[in-house]
This record gives sequence, C-alpha cells and structure tokens, in this order.
Amino acid sequence: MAAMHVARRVYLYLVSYISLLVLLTGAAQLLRLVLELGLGLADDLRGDASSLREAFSSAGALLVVGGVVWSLHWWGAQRTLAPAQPGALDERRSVLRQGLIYAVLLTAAWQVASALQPLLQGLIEAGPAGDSTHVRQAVSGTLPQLLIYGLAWAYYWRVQAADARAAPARRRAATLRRWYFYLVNAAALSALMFALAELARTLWERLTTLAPLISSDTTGRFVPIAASVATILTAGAGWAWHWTWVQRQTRASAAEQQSVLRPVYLYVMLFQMITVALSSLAGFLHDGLRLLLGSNPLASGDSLLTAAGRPLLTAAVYGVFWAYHGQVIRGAAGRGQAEPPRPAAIRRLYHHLVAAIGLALLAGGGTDLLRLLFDLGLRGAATTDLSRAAWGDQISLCATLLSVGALVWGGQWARLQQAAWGADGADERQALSRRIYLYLALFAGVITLLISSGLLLYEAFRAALGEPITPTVLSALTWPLAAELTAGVLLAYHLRTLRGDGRARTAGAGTGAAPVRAEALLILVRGAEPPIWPAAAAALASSLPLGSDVTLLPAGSVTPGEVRAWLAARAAPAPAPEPLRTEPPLGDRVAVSAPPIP
Amino acid sequence: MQTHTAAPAPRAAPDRFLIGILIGIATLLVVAAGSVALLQRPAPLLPAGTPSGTIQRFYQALEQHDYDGAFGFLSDQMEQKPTRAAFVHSASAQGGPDGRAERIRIDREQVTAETAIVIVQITHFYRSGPFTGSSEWTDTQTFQLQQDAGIWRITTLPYPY
Repeated sequence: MAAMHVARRVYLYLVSYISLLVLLTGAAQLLRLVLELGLGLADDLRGDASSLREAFSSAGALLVVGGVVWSLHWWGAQRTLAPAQPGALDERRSVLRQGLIYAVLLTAAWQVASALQPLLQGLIEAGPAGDSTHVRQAVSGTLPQLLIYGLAWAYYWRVQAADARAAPARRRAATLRRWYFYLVNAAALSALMFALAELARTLWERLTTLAPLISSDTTGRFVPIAASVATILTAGAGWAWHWTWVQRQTRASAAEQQSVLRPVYLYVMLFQMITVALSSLAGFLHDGLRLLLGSNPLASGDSLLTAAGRPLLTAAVYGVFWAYHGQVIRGAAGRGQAEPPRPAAIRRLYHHLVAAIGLALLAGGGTDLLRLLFDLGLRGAATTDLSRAAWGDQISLCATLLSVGALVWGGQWARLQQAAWGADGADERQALSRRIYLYLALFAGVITLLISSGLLLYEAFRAALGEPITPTVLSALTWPLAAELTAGVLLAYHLRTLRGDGRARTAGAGTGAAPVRAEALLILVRGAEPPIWPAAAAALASSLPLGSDVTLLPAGSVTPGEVRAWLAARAAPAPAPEPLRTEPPLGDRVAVSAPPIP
Repeated sequence: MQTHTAAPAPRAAPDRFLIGILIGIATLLVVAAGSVALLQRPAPLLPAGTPSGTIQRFYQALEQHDYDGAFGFLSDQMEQKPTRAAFVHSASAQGGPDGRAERIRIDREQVTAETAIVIVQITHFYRSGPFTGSSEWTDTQTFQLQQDAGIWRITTLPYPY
C-alpha cells in the first residue's frame, strides 16, 4: 500500500514540477511580448511581423500545454488533502510533496533574483534623467520573469505554510526545508558580501583619485556602481528575509537548534569569510613589506592610499560578517544545552581544517625564510647577486606567509588545546578530526624529513667523492637544511601532542570512570498484531528528536512484572561478595535470576 | 440491527489562489493574442535625411532583395568598398537558413557634425518549436555614416556585409 502511494506521488509531483516550469516559461515569454508591444519595442525596421508570430506561437504553446498539464496534476494532488481524506496528513508530510514545493521555491527564487538584479541595474544605469529606451528595454526584458516567478514563489510559499499548519514537517521533510533556506542564504550572502566589497573598493578608488563618485559613460548611463548596487539590493533583500525566518524558527524549535545542516552552513560561510578576509590582509601586509624593503608593489597609476585601501576594505566587509556569524555560533553554544555529536564534529572539523591550513602557511613561510638566511650565511648563489628590490620581494613573501600562518594556526590551535584539556576534554581529544589533523601533520613532517634528508645525503656523498662545493651547491643545500629544521620542530611538537592524548586516554580508562550512557525508555507492547509493529516503531521514531534510536526486540511471553523486576535488579547496587563457604546453610539457598530478555 | 451509512466525505474548499492563477493564464493568453493582432503596425518610415532613415531604407532594400538599391546607400568614400558583385553575393547570403526570423530595430543614433553612428539591435528567432531551449538571441550591428551633399551614406558596414 505504501509503495502504491509512493509511486503515485512520484508521478504526480514530478509531472507537476516539469509542467509548472513549462507553464512559467511560456507565461514569462508571453508577458514579455505584451510589454514589448505596449512599449513599442517590438516594431521591426522593415515592418516584418514574422518575429511576432514566432514569439507568440512558441510562448502560447508552452503556456497552454504547461497550464493544462500542471493544473490537472496539481489539482489531483491537492484533492487528497481534504481533512476527511484518509492519509491527508501523511500526504502533506510526504517527502516527495515537500521536495516538489521546495524545488519550486528554489527555482522561483533563483529566477526572481536573476530578473531583479538586471532590472535594478538597468534602472540605475539609466539614471535620474532616464534614458527612456534603456529603461523600457530593462523593464521589458526582466519584469515579466520577475512577476511570473514571483507569483509562483508566493503561491507555493502559501502551500507550504498551509501544510506546516496542518502537519508540521518532521525529519526528512524538515531537512528539505532546511536545505532550501540554507542554500538560499548561502548564495545570497556570498553575493551580498562580494558586491559590498566591490562597491567599497570602487568608491574608495574614486575618493582617493578625486574622481566623481557617480559618473556616466559616453552614452549617459551611470555604469560603474550600478551592478554592485543592484546586486546588494537583490541579494541583501533575499538574505535578510530568509535569514530572519531561519533565526525565528531556530529560537522557537529545539529540532532546528540541533539540526546538522545549521552548523554546516555556519561553518562553511565562516570558512569563506575567514579565507577572503585573511587573504586580503595578507595581500596588504605583503605589499606593505615590499614597499618598506625597497620594492614597488604599486600598479601603474595607483597611489599608495588607493592600493592600501582596497584589501583593507575587502577584509573589513568580510570581517564584519565573520564577527556576526561568530556571535551567532557563540549564541548557540550559550544556550546551556549539551552539543549534539554531529554538530560538535562539524565544529571540530572546521577548526582543525583552518588550523591545518595555517600550519601549512607557517611551515612554508618559515622554511622559505630559513632557506634565504642559510643561503645568505653560506654565500649561496641564490642570494649573492640579488638586488634590493628582489630581496624585498622574497623576504616580504616569506614574512607574510609566516605571520599569517602563525596567526591562523596559533589562534585555532590554542582554542582546540584549551577545549582538549578542559573539563570535558575527553571527547575533544578523541575526536576523529583531531586524529586526522595530528596524523596529517606527522605525515607531512615525516615525508618532508625523508626528502630533505635524502637531498642532504646526496650532496654530502657528492662532496665526499670529490665534487667541488660551489655557491650553486651551497644554495641547493639551503632548502633541505631549512626543511629539516622546520619539519623536525613541527613533527616533534605534534608527536608530543599525540602522545599526550594517548596518556590522557589511558589514565581515564584506568580510573574506572563509568562510560556515559544515554537514557533509555523501555516500552512493552502486548496484544497488538505483530505485522504492525515495524510501522508503529517507525511512527514513534519519526516523532522523536534527531539522534534518538528505536530498537524492536521480540520478547515472547515476557510480562510487565518480569521486566520491572529485571530493571530493578539492574539498577540496584552490586551486593558485596560473600565470604567463601564450603556449603551454604539450608534455607539460604535462594535462586534469583532475571528473566532472559531475548 | 443497526445500519451505518458512510457520509460522503466533505469536499475541500476551492483554492481561490489556484483558480485566480488559472484565470490569469487564460487572460494572459487572450491579451497576448489581442496585442499581437491589434498592436502590431507597419514600421513608420523614418525621415530620409537622417542616418536612421538611411539604415532603415538599406534594410528594407535588402528585405525586398533590391541589392542594387542597397548598394546605392554605400558611400564612395568608403574604405575598402566592396564591388557591386561582391556586395550582392554577401548580402544575398544573409537571408539566413529556413526557420529563422529576425526583428531589427534602431538602438541608438549618434550624430557628430557630418558623421554619424547608428547601432542596430537584431533579435534572431529560431523556428524550432517551443521545447528546444532558448529560441532567440540578440546581437548588435554598428554602421558609420557620412553626410555627402546632404545625403547620409554608409562608410562602414558591420560584419558580415
């Protein structure tokens, strides 16, 4: 029976989705044709009407066919939702129905944004004076798509709201809803940050070069900031609405707070923000050091102020959003609830990933800096004839990598170590991501030592066999020497950390500390038909919070009294062992056994 | 003996939003058909003494296969002016494959003393049915003209003429 419902839903909702897209495409094209005719944009210079006939025929066919098929199938799907219909609630909650609704919402949201941004850009470019042809073209090209897909979005939002009121979504259906919101939030926020940074850089350039803040190109259109402003308005509105909705739901629902997708979204966005912000700051630091050390990092025509401001503004924009999302994460941690396992694993994965990247930068920068210093000390060929500018370039790159790497790795590792050696550090020390990080660090260190040792021995053997030691040979020795030192130090440190974790784990096991057990509830079902037990268990599981397990164990003819006695015996403290006796006294032989629980 | 008769299941209230959408679809179809029938009009003939008017007459000549007439709009001072035969050959090849319609309109005209630039927007429609993806695309062509004894003539032709 369930399989029949699934087959029916797959058919109904898949056909509804496809026919809806056909309908919306035809409607948007037809509306665009009407607008172009009304605005006088459809006139052909030669008076040829074949393009009009073609446009109407194509769009009309899509509209009629899509409209008929969609309305029939959607009406068929909606018929089953009447309150008195058996299975109406199941229908509302079905994953396939929710999948269709959120697929339509996602498609429609994308189309609305794709139309709104160029519409706003066209209107801004036309400027207050309004190049009328440009405005008419912008409106006719985008307004139909905006209206038609906006209407579709509004209708299906209304459908999902009605479903949520009648039958709140659970588990997989709720996951689909979260996927929609977090995908839209991720896309909108990424576009918003990018456009804000771009606008900030453009305005900074105009301010520092004393160019007019807003200027028009030769056609009289206000071009430079139009695209950024339009993207900010579009993406900003989309993100603000969807994020506010998510936050409101999260405050009201424990299931939302504990969902896995939320920390995945937050940490993926944090990773994007930290990457862009730190890359921009690294670029600023690099150019600043180059300037101080005698090189000229400025592109032709750029002043120092202009060049310095660009990366700082980019870092500032992404930094603001980084700070905000950090606060969101801290707010979640401050609710006082225990962190569920999977969100905790995502958090640890993020911190260890960032630490690993920081470590790689630190190791690379440190090795390169040591290489230069060794080469200088040994009078190798690489540094003998370097100009001041070339020296400046090399030193500044090494120093930038070293500084940024140390900052990133130090910050993340300190936080991780604080958690690992804190009150509840056992879980942190035994986390998979920590293991992966430590073994990855060991692997990189050992492989680097292998290669550098091999190179050192190679040069040593050559020298021992009479090869002259030239400045080129000395330069060839500097990288393996530097790598030996860097890799050796980092390898020793991480090996020490790994051993410390192992000792702590052994010490914890030796104290006989009882493992933490999850609370369990035993429900004894008697008298019902066995075939319905799996469905009943599934229904019960779907009503429990994420992370709960329901296990079915057939118990034969066991009675509630027997189960009660067994649980009582299990909970009672273990009796002290009796002194050894050769023969128990008569009357003391009492057999106590718990009924076997199959 | 008690007899129980099942009451007919109450019907769900009609979804007015859905009904409104269906009415909107029908309305859009009727309005579009009416617009195509009533609002399409022959293109007004632009003044002959303007750059846009010259370009319009140039395209009308090509549309009517009057290639000699179209060649007459080319200026004698045109750099690398094609021969009449080469122009006719090239222009006749621009008819396009069967199944393609075009809409040509003037996008912009810029006049500076005795020279002018006219930018034309051409939207191509492929007659390949509604289900074969995007069936239209738009490109632009730029003409340069020079005034010669009060008459605007073309000094630069766009590709592919």
